[in-house]
Amino acid sequence: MAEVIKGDALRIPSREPEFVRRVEELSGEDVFACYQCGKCSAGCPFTTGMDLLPAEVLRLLQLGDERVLESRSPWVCASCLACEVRCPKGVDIAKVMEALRLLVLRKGETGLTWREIPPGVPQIALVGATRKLTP
Amino acid sequence: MTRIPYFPGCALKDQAAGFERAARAALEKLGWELAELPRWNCCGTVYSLSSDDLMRHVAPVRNFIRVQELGEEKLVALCAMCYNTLRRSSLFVAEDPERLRRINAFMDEEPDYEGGVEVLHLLQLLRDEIGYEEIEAKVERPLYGLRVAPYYGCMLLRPREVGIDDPDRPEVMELLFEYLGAEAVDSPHKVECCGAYQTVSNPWIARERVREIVGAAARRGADLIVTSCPLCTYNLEQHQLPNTREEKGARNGIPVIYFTQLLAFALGVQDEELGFEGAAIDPRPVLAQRVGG
Amino acid sequence: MGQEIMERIREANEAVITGIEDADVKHWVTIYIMGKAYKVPADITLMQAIEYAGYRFVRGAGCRAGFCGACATVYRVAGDWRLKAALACQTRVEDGMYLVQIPFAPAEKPTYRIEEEEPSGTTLLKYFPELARCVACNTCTKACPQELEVMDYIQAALRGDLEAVTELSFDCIQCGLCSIRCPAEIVHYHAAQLARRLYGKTLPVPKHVEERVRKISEGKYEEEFQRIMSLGREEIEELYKKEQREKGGLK
Ligand code: SF4
Ligand code: SF4
Ligand code: SF4
Ligand code: SF4
Ligand code: FES
Repeated sequence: MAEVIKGDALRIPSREPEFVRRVEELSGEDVFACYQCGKCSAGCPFTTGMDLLPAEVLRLLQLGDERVLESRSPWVCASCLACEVRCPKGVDIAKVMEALRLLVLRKGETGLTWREIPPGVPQIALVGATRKLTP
Repeated sequence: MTRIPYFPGCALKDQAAGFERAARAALEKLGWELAELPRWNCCGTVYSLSSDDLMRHVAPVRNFIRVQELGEEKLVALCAMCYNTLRRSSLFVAEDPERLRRINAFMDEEPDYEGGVEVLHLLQLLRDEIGYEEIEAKVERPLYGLRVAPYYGCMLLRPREVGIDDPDRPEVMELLFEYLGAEAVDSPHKVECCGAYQTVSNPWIARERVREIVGAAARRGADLIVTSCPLCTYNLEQHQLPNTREEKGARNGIPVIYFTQLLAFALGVQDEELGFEGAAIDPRPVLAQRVGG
Repeated sequence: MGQEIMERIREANEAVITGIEDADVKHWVTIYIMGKAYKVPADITLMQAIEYAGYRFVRGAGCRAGFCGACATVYRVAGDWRLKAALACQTRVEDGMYLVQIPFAPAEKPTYRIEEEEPSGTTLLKYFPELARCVACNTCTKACPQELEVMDYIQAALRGDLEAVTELSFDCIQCGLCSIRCPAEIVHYHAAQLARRLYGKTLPVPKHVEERVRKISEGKYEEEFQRIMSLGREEIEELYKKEQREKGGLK
């Protein structure tokens, strides 16, 4: 694969809001590396449940737009990594989605209540859901 | 018999018991034995995607310590989710000794994990260590005429560094099925997510996913769908038709079975060992019709 | 050597246990109950020390013999970073101990009709879905005063192995210390109890129990029940003492 060009040229550190820095820190990803090709959005099988497409999530982060924090998309993402294998810039979008969830979960809020649990699901569904969606 | 340390995972001790039972029976025919890890614990099933969450790696590492205590270096998993989580964690701690040092320090009641355990998926073992030709030679019930749609889902293939095959065009299952005599049915949806754990929080989205995946397999004339994950199986079965949970056994959708069951069937394993009774849509009629008893 | 010293301290302090004056106490330690320092005789239990310091138990004490699990206590000892857990009635004071009792672990106990529940892992997860949150940190095991392999029984519960949960959790006294410490907020002892009840359903009913139930329903003991029910308080006490003496219990 060709060398991945980092996103530093797009970065204006003095204008970068704290939450963007935190998302980058938690995810270990460079959100400014994204050049908005949209391949992640095209391949994501969960977009019907999302209010922002994966590429749009990245774009709002680049712009420091706080509306991304209210988005439903990270809670619909299933960490399937279809986006990760496709991104020509090597951005692991699933990690960015996880960071956005963690900003909420680490305050003790939950993205899942027990009432929703369908009886008889296999353990791995419950373990996965609780690990990704509960604090 | 060649023995290999084996990590079952929770679902294989419960809902997906047939996955394990068939694997044991098939491997016995091939001269291999799964040696269940003593005192194994749930691996966490989903890999933590955050940079700082060492706690989520405690569970996998504790299992690696169990392997180390046996003086072994390899660990095989059947469930794709367990495989993925264990394998990624093994790489995560290998990448940076400081991470491992902190995890070891936290688990002060355990011996330190020294690193070096290699996590494998059973499909890799079948392909790379046993070999398809060896398997073909042991086939007792060739699956001629059976049209099988492999369903990989996510965790066998992504991310690349742990994928057991090409993430876009995998063929490890197709080849296995062809060596067993079956015809592999291709589908662009075979590598797309089934909805995974979103079946708990957003079941409608899993249903939508499954309609697409199963629909594509049906249009291509598949008799069976084959998976390597109890959650894929649950989703593909439960969301295939609306409100079918109550009508167990009574429906006529496409049966979903594990690759170990198909393998065991072809190797002539006795019916009781195939574990088909756990399937929501009974695969036995179509197997009998196409292949015969 | 250490053993010997402890033995001497114990003898020297015999007074405390038998209720003699402070002047007779030869060895003292300082402990901190909810942050306040108290000088108490060495070698007594935490429970005795708490009472010695002037507290009176309303909750947090029961059998005083290590069986009821009412006296759960957490503590640290000066110079040691570990947060330890113990039963107050079974643990001796140490100099520099910081302690607080946690007589009750806030926990919801789901109600179920055991006859109607299927003995399976699915039933366990229906009532205790939080089992799925275990991260295998083993903190519960380290907290358990009964020295049970608590994490192992939670892991067994998660995978629906009712028999293993039953065996591993059999000596649980429901003190709640595991649950107070668990980062996954699991209520171990309630889950284990359901698992044991479910497992019990899979076992054959022992012959002698069947026999006894039959006799009861046939009214074999009816007369004796009626007689006891009609007794006054003193007569009941006398009857109890007599029974105990016959069993070799009361002197
Ligand atoms: S990981 Fe999430 S965002 Fe990426 S393709 Fe899968 S569901 Fe979509
Ligand atoms: S695939 Fe990568 S570069 Fe393209 S839009 Fe998505 S994140 Fe950006
Ligand atoms: S398992 Fe928990 S509740 Fe039971 S005795 Fe141990 S610490 Fe107490
Ligand atoms: S303390 Fe809780 S999370 Fe940790 S091992 Fe015990 S049950 Fe699991
Ligand atoms: S008071 Fe009953 S166990 Fe301590």
